[in-house]
This record gives sequence, C-alpha cells and structure tokens, in this order.
Amino acid sequence: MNYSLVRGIVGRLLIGYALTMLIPFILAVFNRESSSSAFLLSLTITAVLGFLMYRLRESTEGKMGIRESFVIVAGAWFFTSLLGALPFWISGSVPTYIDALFEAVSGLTTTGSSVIDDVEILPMSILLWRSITHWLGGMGIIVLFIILLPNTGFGAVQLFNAEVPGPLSKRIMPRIRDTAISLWRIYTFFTLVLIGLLLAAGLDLFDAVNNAFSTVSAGGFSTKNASIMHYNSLAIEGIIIVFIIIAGGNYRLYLEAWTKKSLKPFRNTEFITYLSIICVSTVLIMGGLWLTHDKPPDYALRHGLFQVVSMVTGTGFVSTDYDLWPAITKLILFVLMFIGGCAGSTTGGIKIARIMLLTKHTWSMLTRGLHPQAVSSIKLDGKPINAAAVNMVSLFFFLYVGIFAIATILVAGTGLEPMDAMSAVAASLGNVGPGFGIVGPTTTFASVTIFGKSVLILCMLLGRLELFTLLILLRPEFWKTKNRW
Amino acid sequence: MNIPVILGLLGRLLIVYAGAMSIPLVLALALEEWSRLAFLLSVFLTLLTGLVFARQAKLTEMKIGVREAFGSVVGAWILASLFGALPFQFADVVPTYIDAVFETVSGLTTTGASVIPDVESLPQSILLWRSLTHWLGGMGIIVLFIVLLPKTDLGTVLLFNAEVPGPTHDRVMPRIRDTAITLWKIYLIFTAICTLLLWSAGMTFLDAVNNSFATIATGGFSTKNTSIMFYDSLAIEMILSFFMIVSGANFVIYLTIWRKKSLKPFRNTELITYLLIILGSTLVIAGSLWFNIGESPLLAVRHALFQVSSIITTTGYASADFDLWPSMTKIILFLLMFIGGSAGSTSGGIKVSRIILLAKKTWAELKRGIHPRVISGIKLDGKVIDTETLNRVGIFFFLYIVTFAGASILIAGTGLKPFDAMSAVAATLGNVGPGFGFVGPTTTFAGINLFGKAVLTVCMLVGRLEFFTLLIIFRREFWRRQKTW
Repeated sequence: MNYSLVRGIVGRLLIGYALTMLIPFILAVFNRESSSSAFLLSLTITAVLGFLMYRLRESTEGKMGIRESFVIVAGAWFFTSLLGALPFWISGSVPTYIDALFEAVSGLTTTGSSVIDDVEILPMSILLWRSITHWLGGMGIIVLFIILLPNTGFGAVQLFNAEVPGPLSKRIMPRIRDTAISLWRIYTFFTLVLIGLLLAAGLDLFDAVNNAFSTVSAGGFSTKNASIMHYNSLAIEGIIIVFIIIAGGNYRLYLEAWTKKSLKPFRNTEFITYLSIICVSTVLIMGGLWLTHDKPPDYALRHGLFQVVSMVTGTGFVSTDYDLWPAITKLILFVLMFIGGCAGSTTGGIKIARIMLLTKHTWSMLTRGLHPQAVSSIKLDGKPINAAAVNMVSLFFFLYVGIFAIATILVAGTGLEPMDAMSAVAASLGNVGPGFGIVGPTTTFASVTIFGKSVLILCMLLGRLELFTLLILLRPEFWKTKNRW
Repeated sequence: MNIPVILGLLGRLLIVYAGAMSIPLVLALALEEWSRLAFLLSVFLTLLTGLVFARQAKLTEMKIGVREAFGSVVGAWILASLFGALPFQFADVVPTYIDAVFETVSGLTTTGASVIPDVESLPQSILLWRSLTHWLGGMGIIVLFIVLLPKTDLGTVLLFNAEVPGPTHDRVMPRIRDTAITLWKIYLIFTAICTLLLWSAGMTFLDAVNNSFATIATGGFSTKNTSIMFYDSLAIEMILSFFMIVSGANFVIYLTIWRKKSLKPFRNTELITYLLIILGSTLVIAGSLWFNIGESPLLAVRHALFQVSSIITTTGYASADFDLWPSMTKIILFLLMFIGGSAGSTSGGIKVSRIILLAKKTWAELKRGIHPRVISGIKLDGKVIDTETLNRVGIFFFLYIVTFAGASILIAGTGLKPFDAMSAVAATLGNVGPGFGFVGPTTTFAGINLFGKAVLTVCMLVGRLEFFTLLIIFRREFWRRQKTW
C-alpha cells in the first residue's frame, strides 16, 4: 500500500473541504451568529490537518492501485464525516460528539435523519452546513475532487468506481474527468432551476437554497421541524416531487440526453421500471388511504405520491404524518426503502437495476430447470450482462439483507420496538431518513442511545458506499504491503 | 408433458393417502367418536378419485421426465392438501373449506399454524389426523411414495430432488429407493423413541404420539390450546428440545452414520454451524430475559433454549409467551424463522447450508475485489461447490425475500399491523407456525380473513417446495407437449 499517495490525496481533499466550510462561516459572520467561532475553529482544524497530511507525503509519485483507491475513498468519507461533525459539536447544537457525527454522516450520505429535535432554533449557518453536506455527498465527494484537482490523472477511474453506486459503472465520455465535470454541471443546473422555482412558489431565498440542496441530492434535511408539512403548499410539494423523481433517475441518462440533444436515452428499462414502481405504489397507497381511512382521493394522491417518491429515492421528506397511515401503506413504504432509486443517481438502497437483473436471472434459472443444457444470457437494454456481474448483484442483495438483519438486532437491543428498529435500520442503510414509530416522520433519532446511533452511522456509510468498498477493508490480504506476484 | 403418466402416479399416491387416512378412522371407530362418519366419507372420496386416476396409466409404461417429475410433485402436494382437508370440513371443526385447506397445508408442510382456537374440544381422531399430516409431510409424501411403490424406478431421482429440500442433493446410496427406505426407517425410529420418552415423562399415550409426530416432523401442532406451556414440565421440554434439534439436522448425516457405523459424519460444517447458531441465540436471549425481565438465570436458559430450538427448526411450539419478551429477543426469533434448520432435514426456512454458501461466496468475492484475476472456488466440507449451485442459492435467497415482502404487503392489506403481518408471512413461508402479536404463540390464525389465509396457504406450499418446483410450472415451456429440441 502506498500510504504516501493516500495521505497526499486525502490531505488535498480536506483542504478543499475546509473551503466549503467557508460558505456557512461567511453567512455566520454576516448574520453575526454565535456559531461563527465554531465554523472558524472547524475550518482551521480541517485545513491544518489537510495541509499536514499533504506536506507529510514523501512523494506524489507512484501508481494508484485498486487498494489505494479503496483506502482513499474510505478515508475521504471517514475524515469528512469526523471533521464535518465539528461545527455541530463546537456550536453546541447537539449534546455529544457522536450526535454531531450522526448528523454529519446523515448529511454526507444524504440520509437526512436528524438528532436535533428543534431545528428551527438553530442558527442559519448551521442549517446551511447541514444542507451543504447533503449537496456535497449527493454527487460524491470523490467525484467533486476528481474535477477540482486535474493532475490526479491515472487512478481516477478506480476512485470513481469505488464511490459511484451501481452494479455496472460505465463511462460515457472517454476521460473520467469529463464525465465527472458534466455530472456536476447537470447537478448544479438542476439545483439552480429548483431554487428558482421554489422562490417563485413563495419560499424565501434561504429556505429555497436549503431545500433545493436537500432535494436534488435526495437528502431530506429540512429547515423546519415539520419538514415539508410546514409549508402545506400544493405548489411546493409538486415542484419537490418532480425534482425528487429527477434526482432518483440515472444521471447518465441526463448526461446522454444533454450531449446527444435527444430524448432517446430515456427509453431505458431501468428508468421506465422506476417510474412504473412509483405509479403502482402510489395507486396502492391511494387505495389504502381511501378505503380504510376515508381520505378523499385528492389528499391520497397528493400525499401518497409525495411519500412514495420521497421513500423510493431515499430523500425522506415528509408532507404528512404517514406513521398514522394503515399498515399496508406503511409496509409498501418500508419495502420502497429497500428498493431505492436508479443506479447512478444520488439515491440509496439496493437500486432498481439490481432488482431487475436478479429478476431476469431468476427467470432464466427456471428455464434451466426445464432444459438443464440451455445456455441463457441476461440482457439489459440489449446489452448482455456477464455472469460475474450478475453474481455480484446477488451477493450484494444477500449482504444488504444480512447487514440489515444484524443491525436490527443491535438496534432492537437498545430498546426500540421491533418494527421501529427495523425501520430505523432500513432507513439508515437505504439513506432514506425517517422510519416509523419512535423514529417516525414527526420525531427524530435523538432518543436512540449512543450505541444505537453508532450502529446506524455505520449503516449509513455502508449503504452509501454500497457495502463492498468498506467491507473489502476487512480482508486480511488488503493490508499486506506487497503484492505476491 | 405426459399428463396420463402424472395422473397415474397421483392416483396411486391418493390410494396410499387414503390408507393413511384410515388410521384416524380406526381410532374414531374404536373411540366411537362422532367424527367417524367424516373420516369414512373422506377415505371413500380419496380412494375413489385415486382409483379413477390410477387407471390412466400402467406402472410399467411410466416414463418420468423433468416435466413429469415437477408436475407430479406439485400435483401430489395440491391433491394431498385438498383431500386432506376433507375430514376437517366434514367433521365441521372449521367454518369454511378454505380454513380446512389452511389447516391441512399447515399440517403437510409441517408449519403448525392453526385456525382452530380451541383444539382441546376436538375429537381424538381429528387431533391424530392433524399430527399425521405433519408426519407424512415431514419426510415428504413423494419420498414415502417412492418407498411404497417399488416399480417406479424410472425418474425417481427427479421426483426425489424436486421434493427434498436443500441446495445440493448428495445421495448416499446408489439407488434412490434404498436411500428413501433408510430415511424413513430412521424417521420411524426417532418417532418411536420420542413417543416412549414423552409417554414416560407423563403424557397420555395419544398425546405422546401426537406430540412426537409434530416434533420429529418439526411441525408444531399441539393437542393443547397453550401448546407445551400446558404441561409446564422441564422433562417434557428437554425431550422436545432435544428431538427438535435432532430433526433440524440433515438426515443424510444419520443415514451415513447408520451405514458406516462411525461418528465421523457429525464433523459436518453445516451441523456445527447450526448448533452454534442455537447456542449463540440461546445465550443472547437468556441474557436478555435475565437482565431485562428479571427471570432467574435457569428459567431464562430453559425458556430461551426451548424457543430457539422450536423456531430455528421451524417447529413452532411455545413453552412461554414469547410475544411478551423484549424487542431484541423477538427480532432474533424473527430472524431464526428465516434461517431455518439444515438442508435435508424436516425443517423449513432458507436453510443453514445456503447461508454458509452465500457467506463464503461473499468473502471470496471481496478477495476478488482486491485481486480481480484470482479464481476462487468455494468448498464445503472439502467438496467444491460448482457455480451453478451457487447461482441457484443466490437466486433462492432473492426469491425468498421478495416473496416475503410481497406477501407481507398483501397480509398487511387484510388489516394486520406491519410487524404482525411480517411475522405471519415469515412463519408460514419458513413453515414455522406462530408469529408475533395478532398471530402470536397464544393466539391462532383464525382472525385473519379468507384472502389472507389463501395467501398464507400459498406461502406455506412455496416454502416447503422451495420455490423452484412450484415456480417452474408457471413457465410456458413447461406446458408444451413436445420437446422443442
């Protein structure tokens, strides 16, 4: 392992991270908020640490291998979480450092579950920092880094693949940096459009910016205790619904549509399945609300659709207290937490592409039960998928469910009711945000014990980095310094 | 597909089944119970249908191919369920025929979930028939059939594999019929010993027979409303725990010991893992009962061991109302429902060996993340497991979870709370029996509506036949009369 290289890159990344902390700092100074010193301290620590790491490298020479890229990505997320928690901790917004860490990881992984019961009394700078962590983490901090530092050259592909979710990473442009730049350009474009629309719908600039950051990144932090319920505005909910759906689609589609100036890329099996899942779930939930709770169809459509897109994309915004809804709608939302959005989006969860591959694989397996000698290959959008990729997908599924099960035992051990514990873990692992019951839409994660919070922090990171990037660090071979061949 | 051959096979099977049904008939006649007419009518109907079907094909002309094997196994289970429900229906112990089918399927699949709230008022013959369905279904009705009808040599391997659970099928003896006979011999011996022990521990003879049928088959129907809680006897609980654990292990191990007269086969990875899971879960649950509810350590261990062995082997007996236990212990029991016992046992669930294979494969795949060109073979007990098997296991896991999720949504639609609905589905899919809350250890499934019962009936069958056998008949190719190549 080339630790020098790792230190150099992570160090530079932290310097970049310190610069983003400048934004809430400036806001704090401008507003004369008490949190300005907290931000000053945090960004100094981050910058100094980054600078030290960068200076302590022996050389930037050396090849970046697979192992280095995994360590860099894991290290980057580790340090940005630890340091991103500082403003919350130092400003006294949360009781303990673990709480601050929970809040920062929840932000960076675009989970959006909070441990702060009353966010409306927080200084504006702290609120902005929460939303910024969403926005940075949404497209990926490493992806941002690839853009900002042009001379990382080789190895960028590996870094990219280790961070960007999805069963099949394919590059659209020959150079990874061009892909990264275009992705961020689209991301910024969506954010700006959304800010404009929210302003037009009557939000003030600050709320518009924060909510736009949370929406486009599929995060879910809100500036109000009651989340989107607070505004109770059909226009705002409609705008947010559209952008949440966009955020849950594969950004490569937008990139292709952008570069080719055609709508053809949208004829994509995953995208169509994604929209179908949203439609079917909404109709089912509407039915449940209408039949068993006598809610009028317009209420059912408005809130059913909002909650469905909010859950399937892992945003976690709340337009009504769905914890009071009938059991069937809750279970549908619970299952949606696992499914997640499209591969290559800012969402969490298992991802629709994986579910589709597994379904196709199952079907072809049944053919082989009848014709044992049949050779069947699986195709997605006309392209054959190789067997190794399909196997990885089924193992991913197993790992996802396995980690969910173990974490649920641990969280239930802290005293949560079974369903509450399951929903807390599913919401963290899928980067959704709120769950049911004690961690439901109108409450926060504040009441979970420190141990429980630590487990959930780990779940959020595992979910965001799609399990393998972090679990690979557990292999003993990983830490052997020399390649044996 | 050759339908006459299937009908011929099924007809002979129904004749045998009518023979099994005459056992409770004899008991009813001897005790002069009012249910004797119901049994007389059921035996007559089953026998008549069997004779009509049997005339469709002669034994000597039977050629069983892949399709015929799948068709026969599915047909056998469906017919056995429909005809086995007749005594319950005619004796009027259940309100509707759907309830009767639920009770029978629950018996045959060794689930043990009941829709009869008061079993103590039932005639002895009906109680015996419930236990007998357990006992027949435990080792497999097709396996019994292979034993009883000597001339069906052709295709018995296919029949055997389509019914016997587990990821791989290792035959110990060259001829499948010898294997089947020996398996039934061992099964009989275990049942006899268990009956004698229970009898000497203070049960009446009939109760001892019923309970040993339900235990060895890992079924869980009890002759008392409060299950094993009724006896409140340490001796009985220990005998049952022991035999449940024995029945949850691979019967092929016992078979090998029987033939080779050595204890070496016990050094089996799956068996050891299975015992370790039982030990670990028992200790954690006992600890939780001790600390959280303040049970004395000995009582905590006694209750924990009984419940853990009852749930992991998917028996479903209860010696304490575990619905009142702390949240964490409930989650652990809930997960054990999914794990199930060993392959080749009478238990349901995913099976320990599948979990082992998936875990091993995942670990190996992480290594491939570091060394992409490494080729890793998965071994279990020294035997290399081929990729095809591993693929099937991955898909099996996916199917299991997806079926669980889909069925849970449907059950929640009938009005059960989310966790109750999930536990009802997990308990039926895993052939366990009772779940939590509304379908908990002290209640029955009687309160679920007919639609919910129908869904759960399908779950029990799907779980028992391990998906592929049932799902394959939904492929269009399956129904084609001629081979396409």
